[in-house]
Amino acid sequence: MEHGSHSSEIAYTDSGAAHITPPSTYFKTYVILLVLMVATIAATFRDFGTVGNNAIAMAIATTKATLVVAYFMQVKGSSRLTIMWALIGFVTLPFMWATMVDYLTRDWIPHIGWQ
Amino acid sequence: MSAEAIPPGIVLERESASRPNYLNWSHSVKDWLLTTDHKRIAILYLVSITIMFGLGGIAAMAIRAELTSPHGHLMESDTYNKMFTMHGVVMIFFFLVPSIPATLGNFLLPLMLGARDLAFPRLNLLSWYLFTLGGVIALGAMICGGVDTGWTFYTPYSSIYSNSNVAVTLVGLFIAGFSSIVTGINFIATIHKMRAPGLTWTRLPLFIWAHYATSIIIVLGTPVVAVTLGLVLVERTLHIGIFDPAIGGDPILFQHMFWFYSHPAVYIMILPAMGVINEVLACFCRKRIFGYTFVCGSTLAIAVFGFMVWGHHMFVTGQSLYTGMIFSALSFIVAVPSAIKVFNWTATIYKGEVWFSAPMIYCLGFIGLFTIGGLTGLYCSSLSVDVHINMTYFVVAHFHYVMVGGATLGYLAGLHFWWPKMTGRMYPEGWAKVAAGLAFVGFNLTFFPQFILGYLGMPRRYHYYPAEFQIWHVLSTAGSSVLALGYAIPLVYFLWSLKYGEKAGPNPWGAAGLEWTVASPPTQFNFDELPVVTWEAYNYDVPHENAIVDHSKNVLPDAEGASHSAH
Amino acid sequence: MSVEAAHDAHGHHPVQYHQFEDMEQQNETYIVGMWSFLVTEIMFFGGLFLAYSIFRMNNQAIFTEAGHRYLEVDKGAFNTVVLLTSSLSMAMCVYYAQKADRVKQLLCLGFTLLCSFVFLGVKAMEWSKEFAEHHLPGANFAYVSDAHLSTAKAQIFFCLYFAMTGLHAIHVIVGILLMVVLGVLIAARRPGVKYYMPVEMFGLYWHFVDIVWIFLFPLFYLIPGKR
Repeated sequence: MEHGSHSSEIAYTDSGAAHITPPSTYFKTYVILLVLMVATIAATFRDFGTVGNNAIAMAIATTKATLVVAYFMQVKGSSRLTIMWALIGFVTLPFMWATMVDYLTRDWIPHIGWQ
Repeated sequence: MSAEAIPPGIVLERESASRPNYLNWSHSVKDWLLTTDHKRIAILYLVSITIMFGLGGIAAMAIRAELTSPHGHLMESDTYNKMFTMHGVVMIFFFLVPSIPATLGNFLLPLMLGARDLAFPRLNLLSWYLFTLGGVIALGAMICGGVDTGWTFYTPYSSIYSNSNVAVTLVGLFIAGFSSIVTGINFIATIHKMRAPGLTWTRLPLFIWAHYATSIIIVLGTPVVAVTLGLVLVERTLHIGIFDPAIGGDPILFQHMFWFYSHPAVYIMILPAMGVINEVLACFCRKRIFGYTFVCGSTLAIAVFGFMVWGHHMFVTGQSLYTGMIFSALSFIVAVPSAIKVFNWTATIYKGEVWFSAPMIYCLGFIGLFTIGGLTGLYCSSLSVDVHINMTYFVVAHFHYVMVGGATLGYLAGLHFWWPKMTGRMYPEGWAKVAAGLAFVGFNLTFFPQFILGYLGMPRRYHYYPAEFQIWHVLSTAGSSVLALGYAIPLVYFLWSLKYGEKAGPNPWGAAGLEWTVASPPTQFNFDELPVVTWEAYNYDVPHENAIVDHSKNVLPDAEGASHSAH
Repeated sequence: MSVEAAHDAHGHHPVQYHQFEDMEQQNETYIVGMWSFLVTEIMFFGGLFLAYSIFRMNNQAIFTEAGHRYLEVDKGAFNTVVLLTSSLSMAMCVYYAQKADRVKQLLCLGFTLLCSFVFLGVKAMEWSKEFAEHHLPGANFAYVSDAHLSTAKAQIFFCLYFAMTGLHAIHVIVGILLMVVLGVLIAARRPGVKYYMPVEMFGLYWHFVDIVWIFLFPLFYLIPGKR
């Protein structure tokens, strides 16, 4: 993985090809994705409360995205470096939701004596 | 490739002058404009941002000239607004953000890593074209008509009410944003995958660490500002927008999204300068940087914490009080890694074999001014104090201490330090010391009065002011002329040195680091044979001649050539 | 040993660029570069998703009504299936590229291209319906609420809808252009695309476009539920 590892013995005739995912994995992933899509639609016909329904929809969407990243995008089984860069965006994005703190607390009244 | 390690201390070639280097292997315009050589692209960037710096500087001088009188004799209010917008936009988006990464970083990254080029040379060229295109569009809009929103483009003024060329300027900035994204991606891939054998993360020069952190910020932050400015653009042109309060939008949301990038952007500007300071200090103190690992850690910590403090720009703009408290506390935390760096630098100088060369003088200026800029940042991040100084010249002085006193002096330090490597010529040392001194004095004279002005209550972006402020404004303007002289002198002698400067040789400073092992200027593909690194960064503990290796010619070291730096 | 000699000893691959030592290094550099580009894309869309969630939080009722009443779940679901299918065929395209099967690779790419046109077609139908109903924000915006809700914020819903699906559609269009270019190059047996990396790079981009839609679909068409 690291650059330091290249010794001159490695042959590159097979073009250094990465791991090849078998088509069966792709098809299985596809079927699961379709099932999850049906599940997310079905969930909207039941009332779990606004928060409950939203949480279910987002949980399913996140699961689907994870499947796509892991299998279609072949991140599962890749080098740790690739995994790190595949995750870094998804991990950083929630930081932005700190903005929500502003909107949630804007109507709060300052404690008496603070003015 | 060479299986054996190259011991530090063998070969120094003397015949490099006769070999074609990256500058003179071809002279055609096509080979310059279509080059994928990172060194040539760095030179293209150098020329572009120097022009941009000049334009931004002219706007700054116009502002300062206007402010000598409390009644604004030189220009209309409208012109004044357009002038400070142009100064801000040009200096931030077209000078400070690309300054060190795109010129010095571009030039030095592969050399320091022991690589033949960046990972994506064609993307690198694309980056320069995007920068130039964005620059031409934005500058065209700002010169033919102007923009009067200030560089922050706050909505709803920018999206609805302003009658100036906001839309076209935003297109330019959007494009320029992608130029910096492309550079960031390129640097990340390069630093991860193009390091020479043996060059582990803990052996990397801190300049590389700084660029790695900077690239992460660029990659994570710039898209957010791009989409935000894009939304303003769409709102202005197609009326599909979410910031207009008239249809239930939220202008504060613009500020959140804008500062989510634009606060980390100040670290995009300052981190590379800190990287430069590490290299220069280590060389001219002849010491390893004190606490190498802590400096690495603080670099990454600044990048991470930088993303958690954007709300401190919004203490008085209607954001929740409680959010203000959180962001105020978080902003204090950023001071910790910054302070770690300053302490490490001072500890490096302590008992160092200090050589007061021109880059070192810039460096010392940087440390002092950055410290003042950083500490006044703590004033600004205190919630209650900020209510008083927000939108005043105090804030203006604070960020100029960091951006001009910090980033720009760091850029000049780096430019002087690596000028022999980039051009193969020495600049006149005496003049350089004069220029560094002038810049330091002029800078303080310009911006220290602004702290006082701001404390007294002078708001920024106003050009009519009470007469009792005039003395401070006149002082500041006087200082800015000295500062301008301090910038003009290097421009003259750098150009002069291209033809008349003394030949530099591969390592005029006796510095450690892979970039000093190749010829000055380097050949087109940097290394004839990729180096194998077996030593730590800043190995000044060994006699510094021994840090010099060149593996293209097996010639024994030449004491005279290597000890050019004897002081 | 000189650079050239080193390369010869390695059996220098024809599509290996000069700055790389070997194909393994080149491949992983490309993957890291592509992923860091996708990180920028994630943040790019992230800003819009943030705006969406803030407005949704503050205007739950009108957002729910506008989404449930004026956006058609069946079309959204159909488009989801289309994009998922296109992702599958893109994955298969990468597989055949790795196997160096040029014809099947082209077939898969063509099928993906077809899917992307179907997706855009359905999207165009949906948009023209919104245009006809005066849901395009601006001077002619009109909105009728069943539940007698205050309709002031309905315009924001449609601003976000058009901004986010529009940006997604721009990415689909860029994808179509890239697919056409790739297809032509592969059909013309250009040496640059004989190797699987360009197809793999594009595949990553295309799967990312799919992921964005995976989130857009429930956010606009489905939540919160109890239709």
